Amino acid sequence: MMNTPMIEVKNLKKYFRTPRGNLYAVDDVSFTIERGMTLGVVGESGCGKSTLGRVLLRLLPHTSGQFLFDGTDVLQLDIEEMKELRKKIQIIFQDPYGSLNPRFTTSQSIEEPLEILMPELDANQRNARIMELMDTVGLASRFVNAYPHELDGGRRQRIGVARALAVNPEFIVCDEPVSALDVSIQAQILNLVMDLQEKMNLSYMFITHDLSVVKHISDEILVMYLGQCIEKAPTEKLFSKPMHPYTQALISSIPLPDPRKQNRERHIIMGEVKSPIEPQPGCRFAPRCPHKIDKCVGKNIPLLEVEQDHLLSCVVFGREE
Amino acid sequence: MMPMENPLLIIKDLHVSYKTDDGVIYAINGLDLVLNKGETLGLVGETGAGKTTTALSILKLLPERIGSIDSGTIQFHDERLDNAPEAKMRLIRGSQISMIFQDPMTCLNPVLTIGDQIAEVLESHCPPGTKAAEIQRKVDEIMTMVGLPPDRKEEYPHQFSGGMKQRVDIAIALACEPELLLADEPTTALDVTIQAQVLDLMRGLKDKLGTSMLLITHDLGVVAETCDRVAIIYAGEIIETGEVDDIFYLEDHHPYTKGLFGSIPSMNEKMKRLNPIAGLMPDPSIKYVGCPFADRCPHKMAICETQKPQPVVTNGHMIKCHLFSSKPAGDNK
Amino acid sequence: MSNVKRRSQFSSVLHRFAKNKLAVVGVIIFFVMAFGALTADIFFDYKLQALDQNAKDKFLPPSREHIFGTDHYGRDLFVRIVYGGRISLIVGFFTAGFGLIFGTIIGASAGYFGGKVDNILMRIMDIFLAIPAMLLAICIVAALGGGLFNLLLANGIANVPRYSRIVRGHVMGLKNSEFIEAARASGANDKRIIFKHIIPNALGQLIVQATLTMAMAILSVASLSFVGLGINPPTPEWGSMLSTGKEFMRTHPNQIVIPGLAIMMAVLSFNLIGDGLRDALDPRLKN
Repeated sequence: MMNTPMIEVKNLKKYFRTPRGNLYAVDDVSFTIERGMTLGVVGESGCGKSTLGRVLLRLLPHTSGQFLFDGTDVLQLDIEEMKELRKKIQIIFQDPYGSLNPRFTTSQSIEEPLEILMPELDANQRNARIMELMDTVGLASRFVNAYPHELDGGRRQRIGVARALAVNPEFIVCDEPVSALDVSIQAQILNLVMDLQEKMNLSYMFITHDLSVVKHISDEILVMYLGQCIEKAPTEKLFSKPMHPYTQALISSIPLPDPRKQNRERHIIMGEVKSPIEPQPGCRFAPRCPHKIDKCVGKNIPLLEVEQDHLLSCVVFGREE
Repeated sequence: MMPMENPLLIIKDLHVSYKTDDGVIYAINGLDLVLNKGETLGLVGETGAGKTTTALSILKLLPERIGSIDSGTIQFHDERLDNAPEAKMRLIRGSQISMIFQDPMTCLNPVLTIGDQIAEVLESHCPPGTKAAEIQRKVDEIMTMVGLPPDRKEEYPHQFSGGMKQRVDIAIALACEPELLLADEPTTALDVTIQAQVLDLMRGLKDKLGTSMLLITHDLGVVAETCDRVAIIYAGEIIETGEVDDIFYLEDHHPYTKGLFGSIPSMNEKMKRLNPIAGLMPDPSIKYVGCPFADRCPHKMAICETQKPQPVVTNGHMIKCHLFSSKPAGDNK
Repeated sequence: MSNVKRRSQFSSVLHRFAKNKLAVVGVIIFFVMAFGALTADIFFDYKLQALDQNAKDKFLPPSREHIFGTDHYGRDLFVRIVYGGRISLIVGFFTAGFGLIFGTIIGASAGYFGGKVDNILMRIMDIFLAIPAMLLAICIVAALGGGLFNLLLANGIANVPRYSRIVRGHVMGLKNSEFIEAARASGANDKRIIFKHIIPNALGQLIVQATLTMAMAILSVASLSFVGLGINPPTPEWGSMLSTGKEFMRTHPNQIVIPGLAIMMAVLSFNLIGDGLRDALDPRLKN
């Protein structure tokens, strides 16, 4: 029995001010992650999943809410305390091209977090650590002086992983770490990330738009639509019994590598994601929803536990009559 | 599925290279490909395998002075495209063969309205003297066909979302009802629900217009859902082709194809680890002897490094690998 | 495992720079000039050879004793060119340095902090940009009088807006890039981000701008001196030598060819070095 989970996010909100009103990028999202577990966050572009990760790392200021890490509210820490905490929370970025300084060699990139967060190490200790990290993530030592443009996407992403691991973190936000990579390279990085989790007992928040990836890696999945969590369930449950019409549409939209299932029953939804600026109360998916009823609009839909561990925000499905 | 023997496009032993300041890049190295009338052929491979180069070679749109077709033939109907003059290619492009790009913005002009851009394609390929009203009527018709409300034709590209822009691209590509459509990763930049819409649209239009399609993609799921036949490309060579069922259900495969399938996380069963191929694609600036996949192959033999494997064909399923050179490629069903 | 040596940034930049033949030529010209300017006092007597008039030796043709010949006062042209180089180099370095330091500080603050800071700083820069650099220099010199220090100040101030614009543009473009976010996730503070990530990425352009400024400053001082607003005779300065020499252009062309060539070579060398450094500092242009 664990009483306090390692990660607890409570009612987190992040609004951006725009000329046309507030943009509700993250709107009242709550979840917990236990040590050694992976929470997958899925959604389409513009649903606020990347903003969520950046707010947790305080790369963006939050509007309201809490992020408790082992009981301390990360969002309230001052600069010095936050620097200390960054040793425990790290991030892997999506774009292996943009997330490395083009003028830094492999070793300089990996060295940066060590230099800032572990000033107690001297140059020799840092060098030893860099070599150790390169070995851990499967980068040959001959790349130590290579610049990012000389490396392929997979190797660059390994540098990104090494940077995140440098200070021995406990929790890593993975922001679409494999979506820019080819399938065979993607598989190599996924294996690496999963092996590391097992070896170092890491917790992940894995942000992606790719459902097959999220299914492969996550213990639990949170589905986001226009800033809100609309469904959250353990991976097996979510895929075997998706309840929200949007989740159902997402899952049936994935092209399956199985030609004989070409004619399976599918829920293709029409229309596109609406703007997250000043949304009206009610279900934000309603304009595209094939099951829309009058109750869907006008009043916000709460996220309720419809089965054990299965949270849903929908008035049509999963409710007792 | 009936094997149709009515070839529309035949590529034979194609070699394409790029001459850059840093030396020569051998992008296509002896590529053979046949596309039958009315069929959708999926060209599957990873970044740098030569997928886009193949499409650009067919349209002769390789970057000037840098890219060139060194040898081989490209035959469309009875005409040779590889040595066709530019004037003739201009007539073919857009009207008989057209292309859809991955980034929907690349072929839209930001300062022209959507309607004007569709009309422009029609005008350049319609018989001279076609009335403006007639063209506008056709524009409306095409926009309706790809699911765009015709009353949005006065709008500019930036007013459309990614999925909508891809529909505009498709509208432009299909405006002249081409016989062959080259689609280069048409849905890669789109979200899944939008991808499903666009794939649905493309399938429907293809059936309606009878267009043949070369669908370039890295996504085996997209291939399974849209293609009749599949060609796997690696380092500028086709290493395996066959009907979709051959590729997805038969036991015998090129080791690279096996690696590709091992790399995708399954939606059905839970597996602990993926089984990707180790290593990377060979350096394209070096001309290799032997099999291009040899360095990464788990079944490498001595012969693989010295001799190019010859294609082995069993019931239309071709594999280019020494493992199958000695025995015929098994066909268990 | 760790038998692979990490190579320092400096050595790899040097290595790439040395590969560029033209840049090396630029460096050689620059070193010859700088060597002459720095060691002139060891070989020559400034007062005796560069200033004192000696009417009987006037307009001597080039000879072993006077490599470039003598001027209308009988002073050795070679010695005066060497001493003139001093002023040109001081002006060039000071102007570029002044612009680089103040422009970078202003531009980086404006771009990084944005909003009001950006607005105020950049509007001030706009005011300076609205006045042609040469006119600004003439105004300052006219108001404060000629002389080396005022010339330096005039040239320096005139160049600040250019640098601040370049730096600001780079900072704005880079500040939202993922590697800056990555650095912040690693705990980097504003100072480290500006100095370790943003400025090095803007450095290539800044260096090119700096060498161009040096070249321009040399020309500008020469021009000001040529019209009598800069360094006044008898102090040896290339522009004023050119100005005096033009009277004797018909009969003694070496009076203008020599200082003209000196200006040209100095400007050329800075441009060559600038190009070479830009390429060497950008690892993406390797090979």
